[in-house]
Amino acid sequence: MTLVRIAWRNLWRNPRRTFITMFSMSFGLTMMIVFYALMNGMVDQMVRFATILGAGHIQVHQVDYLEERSLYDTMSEPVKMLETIAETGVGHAAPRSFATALISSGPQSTGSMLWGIDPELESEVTELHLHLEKGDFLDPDPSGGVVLGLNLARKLAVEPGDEVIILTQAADGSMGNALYTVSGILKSVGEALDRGGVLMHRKDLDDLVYLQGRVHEIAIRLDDPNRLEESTAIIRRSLDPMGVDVKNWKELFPELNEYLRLSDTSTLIVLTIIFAVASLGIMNTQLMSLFERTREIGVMRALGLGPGPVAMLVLLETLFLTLLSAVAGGTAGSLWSTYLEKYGWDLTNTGGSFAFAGVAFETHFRATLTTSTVVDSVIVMIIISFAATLYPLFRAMRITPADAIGRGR
Amino acid sequence: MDGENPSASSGQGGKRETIVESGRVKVERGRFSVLMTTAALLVFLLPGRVQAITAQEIMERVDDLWRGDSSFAEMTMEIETQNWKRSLKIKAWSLGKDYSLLGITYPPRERGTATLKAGKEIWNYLPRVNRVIKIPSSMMMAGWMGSHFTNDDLVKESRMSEDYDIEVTFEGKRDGIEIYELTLTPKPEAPVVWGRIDYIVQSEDLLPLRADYFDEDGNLARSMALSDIREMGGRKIPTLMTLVPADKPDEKTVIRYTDMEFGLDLTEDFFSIRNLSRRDLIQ
Repeated sequence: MTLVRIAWRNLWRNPRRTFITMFSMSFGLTMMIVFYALMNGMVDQMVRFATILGAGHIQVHQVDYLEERSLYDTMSEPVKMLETIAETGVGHAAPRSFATALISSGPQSTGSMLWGIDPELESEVTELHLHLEKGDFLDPDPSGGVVLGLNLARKLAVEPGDEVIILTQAADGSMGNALYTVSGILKSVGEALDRGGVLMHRKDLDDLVYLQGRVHEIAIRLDDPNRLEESTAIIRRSLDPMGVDVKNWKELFPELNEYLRLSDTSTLIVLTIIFAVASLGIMNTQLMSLFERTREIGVMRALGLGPGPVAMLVLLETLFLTLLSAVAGGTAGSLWSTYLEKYGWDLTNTGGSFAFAGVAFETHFRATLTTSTVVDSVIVMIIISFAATLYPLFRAMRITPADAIGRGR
Repeated sequence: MDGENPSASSGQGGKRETIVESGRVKVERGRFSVLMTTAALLVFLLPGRVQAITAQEIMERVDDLWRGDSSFAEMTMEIETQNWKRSLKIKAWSLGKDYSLLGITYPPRERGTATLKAGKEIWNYLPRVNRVIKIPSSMMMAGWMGSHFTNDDLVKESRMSEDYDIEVTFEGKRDGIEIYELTLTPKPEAPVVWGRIDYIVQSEDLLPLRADYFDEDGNLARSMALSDIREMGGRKIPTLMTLVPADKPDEKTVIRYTDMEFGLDLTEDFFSIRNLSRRDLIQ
């Protein structure tokens, strides 16, 4: 107990130095937490964009569909499949059909991918309806309205209310063509949709390409996205008699999944580097205070204090420094992250949007703060701090009374 | 020294000379010997040149075969894919190599759908929505109206003798018919999509029999067979064209010419977007 008191007092013998050290440690911790939270936020955003702004968590296709995405690789019993999926109770499902088409407005025309969706079911699976740059989402009933991807709308130079012509080859070989009204324009949600996505009512698409109610895809949003693998297995089992292909987003976007797996490790490495730099400060402080107190420690040793308690003294000082910094840095980091979680960090002015593995990023970063973000950071800090104390500790233990007292004055 | 050139150069050059002698000289043999000697001398002096012109000439003949300065044609197009089969009736006008207008007259559901090619641009008229749309360059390799003929075929097919280096790579009897085999390789800066085209042309009347299209990696992409040679519009032409994609041998598009006229009184004004949407023209 005496040691604890001595250690505590030692800290405040040179308050300025202690404060500077504490500041550098808590600043390091703050940066760690904020960086960690931003990385988490980015990962969350990537997964979010890939899933609920497009693919859904799980997709069901006809076995050959993903290879060529042929108009003819359809599933014929969407209603029965939707019911079966609903029975499993893992989440919501929506049917989709697709067709490639030429879309044109005035002198502009370009290739596009038509998404035939059921607006009501779709809004339970994806949040596309909440990501509109302009205008409105599709009506629940087929009305000849279309919602265009951002870049596509720009390329065609259309605004909500404008007319577009769609030309495509129907399933019977004839050339389907019809006029549609742009009802809305999506925000940037991902490369494919941005560049060529045309959302329309599945009924409208059916009239254009004669799919006769058949669909190409059923997208599923899980109630609990963290139970991805179990849910995939459940759906796979329940749809097994229908001989369809069930894939979750990790299987659909292997590059993204790989990236996420690696990002955890790389985050930890970066965190360690950030804090290792800060920890040089700790080592410096401890060494300095040790050199100052060589004589004093020598006297303590001479009075019968073993090397163990001396080491304990140094460790206790480090512990106090670390704990104080953890409280200060943890608070600052959490507050900053909470702010970034709420308001985000807008990088729009520093360079346009970008995409990775076909998934668009908002240049407006949002942090995601979790308990583990703070706890992990504090643990990393404590480990590195104590590692940085090892050398001063070693020096302290080697101080012998004779040398220490005999030296100097 | 000029005369030595071909034999001194590559094996290709040497082969070229043989072809020239067996072809050209033989043709001249029936005439006066003076002429023959002169011709032989010419051939001997400028063998590569003469041959290049010949190959070029053959291709120009092929290019002009269905077109002439101006032409009108009626045809049926039968498209067969793994999933469906359909038949179209088409009327087509052309002027020179830059203008053509095609309109679908059958089936009724698609009657009036028309395509205008003016220079390098292609426009489609869609009667159901009464709109004209321009086909973007990214869609040039897409099939025309669902057929195996691409939009690109409409724009570029007629300029083969300009875009390709043409060489006679075989001459003689194949399957009992005297033929020329022409190998077309794209000129360095030519805006073409094929890596090579092999053309089989009947020697007798320079009518094409077959064309094999290869991609840039040298793989066969599609084959076109031309047959049923008939007299139409005062010319002998193959009236049946069968196009088979190499990756889907069970699919094909067959064009059969049912009527053909050449030397029409057409001007460039005829090939306008206004005429593209004229329903009375395409009935």
